[in-house]
Amino acid sequence: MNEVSDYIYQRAGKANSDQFEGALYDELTKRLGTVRKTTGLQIGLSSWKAWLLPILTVLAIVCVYLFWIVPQY
Amino acid sequence: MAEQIDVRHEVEFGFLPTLGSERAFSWFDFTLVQTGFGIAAWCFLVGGYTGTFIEGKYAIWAILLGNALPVLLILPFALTTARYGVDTFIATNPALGYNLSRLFFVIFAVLNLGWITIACFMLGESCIKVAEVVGLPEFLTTRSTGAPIFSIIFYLIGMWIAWKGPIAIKMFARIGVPAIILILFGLIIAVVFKYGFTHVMNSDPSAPFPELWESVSNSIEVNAGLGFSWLVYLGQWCRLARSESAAVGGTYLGFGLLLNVAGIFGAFTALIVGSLDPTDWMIGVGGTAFGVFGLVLLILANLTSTVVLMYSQSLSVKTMLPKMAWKWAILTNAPAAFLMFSPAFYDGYTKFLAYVSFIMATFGGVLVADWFFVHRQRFEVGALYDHGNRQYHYWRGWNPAALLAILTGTVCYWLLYNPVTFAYTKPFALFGAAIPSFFAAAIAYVVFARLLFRNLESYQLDRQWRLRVLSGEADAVVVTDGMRPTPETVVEEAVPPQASAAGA
Repeated sequence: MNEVSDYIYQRAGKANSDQFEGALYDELTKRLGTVRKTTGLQIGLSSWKAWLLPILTVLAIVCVYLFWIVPQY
Repeated sequence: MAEQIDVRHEVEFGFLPTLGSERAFSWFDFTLVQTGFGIAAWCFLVGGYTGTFIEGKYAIWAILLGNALPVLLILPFALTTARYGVDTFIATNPALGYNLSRLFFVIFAVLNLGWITIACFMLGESCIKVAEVVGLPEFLTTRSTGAPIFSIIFYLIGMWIAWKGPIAIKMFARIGVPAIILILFGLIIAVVFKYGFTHVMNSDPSAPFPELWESVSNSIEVNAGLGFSWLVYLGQWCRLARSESAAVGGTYLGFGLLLNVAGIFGAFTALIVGSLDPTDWMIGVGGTAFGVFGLVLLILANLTSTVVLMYSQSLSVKTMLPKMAWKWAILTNAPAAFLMFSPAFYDGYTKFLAYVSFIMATFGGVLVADWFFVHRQRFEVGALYDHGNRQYHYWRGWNPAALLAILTGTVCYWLLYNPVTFAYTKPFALFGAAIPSFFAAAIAYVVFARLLFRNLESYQLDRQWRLRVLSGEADAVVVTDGMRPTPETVVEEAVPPQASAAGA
């Protein structure tokens, strides 16, 4: 059971036969590899198109603020 | 043993990282949920404050800037939690260390009680106004007795819905979100057709500051407080988004843009009515019949928000203490009831918002800077959970670079703006205090992590691990459902060799 470290072993409740935590951490250690494979090694900002709207709208808002409101201070 | 647990249940309730096939929210669902969560008491209140500070033409831009910019700044953290399918307070481990993440969770839980109180108390205030119209006894129509009674009744109803779980919340959001849309629709009709834009734009704010820059900066500050406050609520939902695009786009649309419609029309209504409290607007603008209808919708909208707040907190409690029963996790929301006994907390909303603002801005700066410039967009997902792994262990679970950066951001905030006395200095004029504090914390963190604490064991282990990933060595760990890794495989290849030797 000690797949990852003593911490997981302890949290898995093996020492006190806690079935719930044991099952939960068993499932966790199984999933870690899948998550590493499917998501953990993606290229950063792979969803770059999703960033266009936020960046462009904030740029527009900041420009209005800096070039229209601030000069009135 | 793994077969004995209901994996879906556990994914829903927070602990395990979600896999692609288990993610429930499409782009549309995600935006709907975020919008339903976002547009509520706090949004109308912030809009109301803005409308009492500045004229309509400035209010639009102060609200847009104050919300959209902070949400954009913290948006990379939404991507982080979506990518790894983990909760907020698991995704914070690489930047903060395990124990500082726990402290951040405690801070979140305390602040969340404040948000629940604000939503519920506004709901209570709506109820006493309806009670007055229908002629209920006097003790049910006053702020000191009626509002707390109704607040607590609906708070208990909200707790029951949250206890039923995310499916019940999704169904409830289908009532709550249309209610919000109807309120907005009513406010827009009132502003456009009953009073007209010209009247709104020419209305003077009821409590402006002496100088324009003071009014605008204070408006930006209250809105930025709301914008940064979403930081701790990102993980609970983004981990359920079907794609990173849904998480990024939905979060920005919901919290950064659509929410502003409510804020802007809230400001306009405050300019017309002269009050910042949304419960005053309904009858003031719509008359008795439409006013009562608006108040009922406001009750539904705030109840939806209360439920989502309670669910978010309980979910995070489950990730910290997975063995805890769901009903006990729900009951961690109970202390909020004590804050509803009087209107004092609700009336101190701007002070509460200022504290939220500097805490979330400084933590946000650290988290985002860490993701881009220190951990370079790669987390070792096993070490997120494995407190025995020294990769994110730092000093006994506390990252000194993060602690010093948060301190730097806090000093920056307090130099610009004192949330106790509301005193501010001249540099506050440009972007308020929260936005500069975000950058101060972010820059300080990068400097501390990459220069002062560069040789800290955890950072060294992380660099070694990243080199192994980039060279393809760590990619050897491929564990699919149904395949169990051997202890040696995971220990030797998933984490650096030195890391596995250390205890918790």
